[in-house]
Amino acid sequence: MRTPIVIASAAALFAAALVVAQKPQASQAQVGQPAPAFTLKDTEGKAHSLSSFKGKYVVLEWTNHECPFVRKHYGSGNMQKLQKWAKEKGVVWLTILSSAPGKQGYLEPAEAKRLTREQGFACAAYLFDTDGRVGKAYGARTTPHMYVIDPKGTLIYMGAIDDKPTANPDDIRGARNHVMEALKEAMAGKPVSVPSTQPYGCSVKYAD
Amino acid sequence: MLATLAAVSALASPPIAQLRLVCESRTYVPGSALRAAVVLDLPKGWHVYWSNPGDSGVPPRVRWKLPPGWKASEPAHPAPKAHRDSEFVSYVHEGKVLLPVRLQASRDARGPARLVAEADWLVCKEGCVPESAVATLVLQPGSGIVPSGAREAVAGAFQSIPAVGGRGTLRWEGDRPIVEANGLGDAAGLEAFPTTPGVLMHRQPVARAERTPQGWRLELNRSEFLQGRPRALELLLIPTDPSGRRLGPGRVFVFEAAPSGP
Repeated sequence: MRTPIVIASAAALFAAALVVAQKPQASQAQVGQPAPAFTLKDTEGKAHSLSSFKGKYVVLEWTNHECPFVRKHYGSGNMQKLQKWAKEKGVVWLTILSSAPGKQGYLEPAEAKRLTREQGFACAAYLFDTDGRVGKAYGARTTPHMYVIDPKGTLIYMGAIDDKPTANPDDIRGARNHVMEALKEAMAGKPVSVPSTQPYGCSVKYAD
Repeated sequence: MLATLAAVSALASPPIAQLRLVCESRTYVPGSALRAAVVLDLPKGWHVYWSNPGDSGVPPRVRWKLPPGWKASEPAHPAPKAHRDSEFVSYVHEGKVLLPVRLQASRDARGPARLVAEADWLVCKEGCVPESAVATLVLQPGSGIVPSGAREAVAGAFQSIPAVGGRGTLRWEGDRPIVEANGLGDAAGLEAFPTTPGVLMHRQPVARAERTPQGWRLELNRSEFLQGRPRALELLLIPTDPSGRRLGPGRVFVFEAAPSGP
């Protein structure tokens, strides 16, 4: 016979979890399922809807230009190189900022425009999710955190950009790039061999 | 001139965390073992990451430069704290962080031994800063242990490492792992920390818990990044008293599924 846990014990048991949301919101994004729909504005104020990219591969990249892990990939040119490669393959690359106003990495549209020009971003659009709704729908928890969506709108990869979870640019050489690999495999009609990994990076600076 | 000085000092901003290497003894005996610790001193409000950083962050990394024949273990970690960031949770250390290390002196060692730890770590508050530093410790040859000023701190650090060797059973009910653990004494409650990322949900690894006559039965939440149903899961369980205070550093349990039939 099992004794149900008493209330006091339950409180202690969840000491690690108490500080988090009482009702854990399962994020909606799941590999093999339709990617959550969204509409977000870019640096010019123009709205982009995920649904308008049906028929194309889409990459979502969560960013925060002040995060050392993001700087690892932009400072070295790795992210821009990947964006250019994807663009040549007809992939729509959407860079998304979920930093809330007043939080690390938050940018006004004009500042973001300058940043993308200065650092040579090759994304199709830099989108603002400053209320964090889209980030939370995808379960985006780090910068960078990467998602790949196929032409049918199905999520085919989510997780880390590569398999070297450090902030050191020297670790880019020899790293296995999961985003490029997922795109190459899917475009060749093969199943994605690594469809999901634990992402690494700074926490996303959502509104409190 | 002033502008140049200001620019230089801005570039060389002081580190946030201070790195030190301490040992229980000022001396070593060739061929014998010593207890030591890599120390990171953090200002209030800042944290570094546990061996499983949780939803974000990376753990500190140490590379050793030792005299020939010397060995140093991977740094161990004390039990972590859960640090909430929006809906996500990281596992962190705060304050004065001691990562215990076992040193093994070379049998052929002679003269002063210079031990060098090159460490890099990510230290975060609102934002994160990657830092690195080198710490050096020189031990003199001797015939026994000559206690250093850090002896008690090092001993305390070793006591703060969770024990290993906990065993339990794992069973899958659909996508939900269910584990049973014995040998947790009279714990009124438990804190649970998955030891590896990408296996269980960091913000709430335990969905439901109940006491059994022998111990505890825990229904766990799998990570959205987990593929398939692994046959083994590892979890640090820390018993707590009725007020939620920890009773020691806890124990790492390996939960294994019973072997399936032929």
